[in-house]
Amino acid sequence: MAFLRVDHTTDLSELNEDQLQALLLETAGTPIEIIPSAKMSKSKKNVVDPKDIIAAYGADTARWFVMSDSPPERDVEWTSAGAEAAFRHLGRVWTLSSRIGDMPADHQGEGDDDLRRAVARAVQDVTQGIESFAFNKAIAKLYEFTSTLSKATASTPVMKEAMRTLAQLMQPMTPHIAEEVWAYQGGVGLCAQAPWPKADPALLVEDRVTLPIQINGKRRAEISVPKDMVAAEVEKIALSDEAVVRFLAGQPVRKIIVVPGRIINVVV
Amino acid sequence: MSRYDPAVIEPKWQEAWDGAGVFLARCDPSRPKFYVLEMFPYPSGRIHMGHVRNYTMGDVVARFKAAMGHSVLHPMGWDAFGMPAENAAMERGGHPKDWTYSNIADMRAQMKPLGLSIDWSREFATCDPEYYGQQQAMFLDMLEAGLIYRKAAVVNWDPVDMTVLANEQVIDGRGWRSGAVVERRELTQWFFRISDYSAELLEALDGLTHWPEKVRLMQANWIGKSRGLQFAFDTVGAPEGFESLEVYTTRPDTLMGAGFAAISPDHPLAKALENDPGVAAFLAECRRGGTSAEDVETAEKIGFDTGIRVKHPLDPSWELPVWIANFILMDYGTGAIFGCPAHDQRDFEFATKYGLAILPVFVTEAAGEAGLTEAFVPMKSERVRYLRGFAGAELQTGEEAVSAAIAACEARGIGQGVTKYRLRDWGLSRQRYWGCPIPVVHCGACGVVPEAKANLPVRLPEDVSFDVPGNPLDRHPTWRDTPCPRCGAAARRETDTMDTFVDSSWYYARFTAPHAATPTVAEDVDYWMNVDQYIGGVEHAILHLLYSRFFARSMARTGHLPQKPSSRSTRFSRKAWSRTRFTGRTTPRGGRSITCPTISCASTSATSRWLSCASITRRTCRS
Repeated sequence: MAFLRVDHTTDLSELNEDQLQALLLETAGTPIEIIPSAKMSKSKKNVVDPKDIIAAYGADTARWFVMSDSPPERDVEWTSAGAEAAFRHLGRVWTLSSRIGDMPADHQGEGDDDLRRAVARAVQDVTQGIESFAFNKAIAKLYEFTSTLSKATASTPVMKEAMRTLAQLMQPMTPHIAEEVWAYQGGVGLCAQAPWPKADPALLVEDRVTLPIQINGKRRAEISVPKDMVAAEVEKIALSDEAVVRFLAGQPVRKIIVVPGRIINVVV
Repeated sequence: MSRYDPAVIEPKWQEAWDGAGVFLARCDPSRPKFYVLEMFPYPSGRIHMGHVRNYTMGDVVARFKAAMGHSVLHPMGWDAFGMPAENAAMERGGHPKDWTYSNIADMRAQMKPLGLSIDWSREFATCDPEYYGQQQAMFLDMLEAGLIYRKAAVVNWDPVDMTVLANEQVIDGRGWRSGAVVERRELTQWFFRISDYSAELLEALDGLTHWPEKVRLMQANWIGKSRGLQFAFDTVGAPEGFESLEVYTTRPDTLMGAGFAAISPDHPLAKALENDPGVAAFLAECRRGGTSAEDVETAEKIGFDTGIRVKHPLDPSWELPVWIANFILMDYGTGAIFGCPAHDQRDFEFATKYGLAILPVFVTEAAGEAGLTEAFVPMKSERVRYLRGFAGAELQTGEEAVSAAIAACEARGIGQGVTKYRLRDWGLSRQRYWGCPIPVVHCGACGVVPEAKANLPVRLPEDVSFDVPGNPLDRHPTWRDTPCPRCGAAARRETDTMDTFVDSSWYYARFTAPHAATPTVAEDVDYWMNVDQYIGGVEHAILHLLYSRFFARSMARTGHLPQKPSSRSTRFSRKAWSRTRFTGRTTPRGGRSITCPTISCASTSATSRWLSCASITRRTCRS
């Protein structure tokens, strides 16, 4: 807050913007951004009218949009582009729900466990985000999980379960589309009354490990292997890694040292 | 699944939730509770994105906690009294009540499509007689408990709006709305004894570990605890009855740098001198302009030499002149000070202007004595070299020196160390129509008599007009006439109404039993209080939260909230912020002022309030 004092006898509210600007320039010696007082109108950043957003995109878009941009203590820029992006995302969730809902019940897919693990991580991270009032983080996680789910090719029950969980995790922010998705995926009762999903701790345990590969002391590649893989197997995978093969260019390997869970050193 | 069409699915699910009563808050002792509250809005008539953001934040928490198995209370209401409704009636005709309820209907209609998990069965507006009647009942209980009193007080009078303004509504000596130069008037006003709770309100801040540090600091600064010395000067040449002059100082270590003594224009001594035409003219000049610390600080410092002198307590042969100075507040300390120009910028300016002595008491650790071009005011924690000290070491910090000076003075029988607070009692009287009537009656025989509880609510009359300025309750032909509740003789109602901050100081408790015939119901407050998550704008970090904390204590004392251990006696445990930003610039003083507050995010309350908070922000930043 600051006050601008102007030696002036007429009612400032009767001046047009140019006249006011000229007067302010004369008084302050520098151009000043004119923000109408609250009596006259809302501040510039509030001109996006919630009614318009709801009419054009619906309440869920408005809600998603106001929660997604920044932590609560920060200012938000209300732009129509932001609302459109939110609406497009909800459209993607809708399409995804349609696709998963229409999958044949007996479809056997791949990567069921990977998807289950992704679900568990999403539950954990979104829960944490909401509990710590970091709604933007929760929403970032929901974007990520939606993308993971849309690429997944798991079996039908696992896909449906994942979609139901997504609906539950979205429910606090976008309750209407969440109910629709929940019902479409066979959820029982109202999503708003369903108990919050719990992350299975076993699924949160990372059972793969990423190992960097150094060739002659310089990091050249990395591989992901099961945590309990024996060293000989790890060596084989490391030496057949595309980047490693390209870098070695046929040179004989003099020595390979696997430090389990940490690093692989190759000497040529 | 067809195309994503929110216009179809959203109303459908909202009906489903309503039909199943999903969001009705249930007092269920078998489950943990969670109370989510967003600061209730002022019914301006329009929802903006800031509202959407605040309510969605609260809604996310409410829905999440419900899914986690909590019994959730997530209510909504309207902070519905206040000047904008009267202003609208004045400018456009119509009645404040109609304007307000029609705005509420509009805002509710804009809010409902958001699908918030609000228990709408608990909705109320503070202008509902069912709400303000309970507020009147509580007022009577607080009056009986000695938490409310009446006193003559110097107030800011807006001659255009014909009302008393809160200090925060006076901006550069002018009414925040009318722009008129504010006058100082003495009126009999009702006050809450919040200053009795200064120490407790300050100490309890330590327990509010969930509150943002910034807010706790703002509150602490507002309460303004200080330790100092209170002592009496012996006067020379003063009128009878003023043989001594009590002063309070937070810097007794600078006593040997005294250049003058000064009293407030409202000090009894100044009034005793008013038959002197020079004094009278000077006092009249002082009465123009606001009474707040803010106004007093920004106004030009002017003084009047009374000719009276006081004897220095440490050296009776040393006499100091007594001035009346416009920058001394009567209701802080004793309304009288000794001036130490070398170490107080205000005193320095005053002494320079009027040619009074400027005697440095201490210098930097390294430097010797040199001429001053401005007051030397180091941090109290900084070590300095005392040239004119009288207690403690030559090299010591200001803090050490203050303690040593208090001890030395006490040992010599010069006054005593005392702790004071800047927080002043909360004046609640407003000469306005659209507020909660103060439920007392003025009887010629019995004096001020509390209205009988059986006669509550004291309802606002509806047949009022706003074509002339002033309080329509004052000029209503019959509303004021009422029998004295004590003796039955013809008497007059109080026509002042309550500050709207009163309405918002207890609404959170009322939501736990919004339709009860008593202000609260023990079972419900036991289950639902405290608020677990409170969401609102940082512009309310001082007054609203401080008043609410005071009310929580007052309500506990009058039996409307349970007595709880101190950690629970504060009614908000966590707070999230939407930020309020203020922009604009200050140029040298003079002429009309325009205020440029930008609320870039949720401001869920009255215009008046965030304007008033703007000046708080500025003041707090400085202190």
